[in-house]
Amino acid sequence: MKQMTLMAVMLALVAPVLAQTPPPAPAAMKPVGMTLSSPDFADGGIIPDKFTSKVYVAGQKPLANSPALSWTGTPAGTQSFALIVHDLDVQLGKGLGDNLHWFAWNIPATATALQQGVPTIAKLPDGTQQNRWGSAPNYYYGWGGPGAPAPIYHHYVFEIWALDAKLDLPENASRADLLKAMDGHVLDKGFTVGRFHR
Amino acid sequence: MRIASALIGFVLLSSTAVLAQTPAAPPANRPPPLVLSSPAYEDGGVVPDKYTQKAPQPAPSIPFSWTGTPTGTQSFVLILHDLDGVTNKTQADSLHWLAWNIPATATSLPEGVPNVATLPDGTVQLSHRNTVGFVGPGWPGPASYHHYIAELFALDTRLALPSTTTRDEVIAATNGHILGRAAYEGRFHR
Repeated sequence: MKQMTLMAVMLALVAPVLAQTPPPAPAAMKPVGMTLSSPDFADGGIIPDKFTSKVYVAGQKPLANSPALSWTGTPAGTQSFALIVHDLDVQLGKGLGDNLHWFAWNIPATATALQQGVPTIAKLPDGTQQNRWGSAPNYYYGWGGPGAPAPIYHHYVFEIWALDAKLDLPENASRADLLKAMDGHVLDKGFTVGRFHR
Repeated sequence: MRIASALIGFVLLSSTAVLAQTPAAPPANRPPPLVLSSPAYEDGGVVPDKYTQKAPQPAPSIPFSWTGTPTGTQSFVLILHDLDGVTNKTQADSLHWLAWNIPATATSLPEGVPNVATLPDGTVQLSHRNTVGFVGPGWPGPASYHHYIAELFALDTRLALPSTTTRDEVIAATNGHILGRAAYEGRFHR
């Protein structure tokens, strides 16, 4: 009996993968879908220095401007978007962690873009909230520019997530809090990847 | 539960780490980083059709090679996944290849790794999608690219997991054992 339960769990874990098998395209992978792009760098291309820690001046904040982003294919029923930017190539301790650079939530469902240089404040006038960095009283919020050392390119993944809910998260929410709150609410997502080293 | 706590641990670590990348110069004695690459396509470029579901199936696996193996590495894990797929409103993405117990002495995977559970060198490949090992990119598109990320993890251990385990179990087993990681990006649509 216990084995059957285990098998059921394993099947449940495997099932979503099977649902995405080779041709023909299954319902779970409907063509088109959301796309995310930036006018400031090509998908898979290099993020220009002006958006990175190369322009940091010691002791000054805000740091670099965020690159502009825009997306298409907002699914029906979207109530808000979440944004996550992270660097896949950083090893933290011996754990699974990679390096966070920005997250935001409650981006309005009507939005289709983020302007270049989103203000580094906790909450934008349209209700968008951004992650908090630093320590009291010197908090800042939002985009933390790439800073990978030369000579190897790191991969900065930009993710836009269409959610069927707005999220009730505190100003000091962590990436873990965001991921937990998003789970079960994801309607679609779009990605673009920029690369960078100093 | 184990996976959930691993995830939370990893994210907590992540959220504190951006500051580590601010101006400070890297120490001069920093060992060379683990670097993953493929002769088949440019980093950030488009995966050639021969490795995809456009080709007769099973398509040959994409060749990869790497440098900068960290001291103390006992094995490698390679994962190839499509970031853009959505499954049941969760954060799960779409797996295309997962191999572990790749020998620590290895510095590459050739094109066309056989679709078998265990290779002669001890490498184990996940059984998924009614096959074993590599499944080529297949996003039907037609206009938008999906992002197929290959990630290599150097571990300070080997994993006692059979081919019939799950992706979640493999990832959970790596937690606390990762000495280095590297990514390489390909894009594809039909």
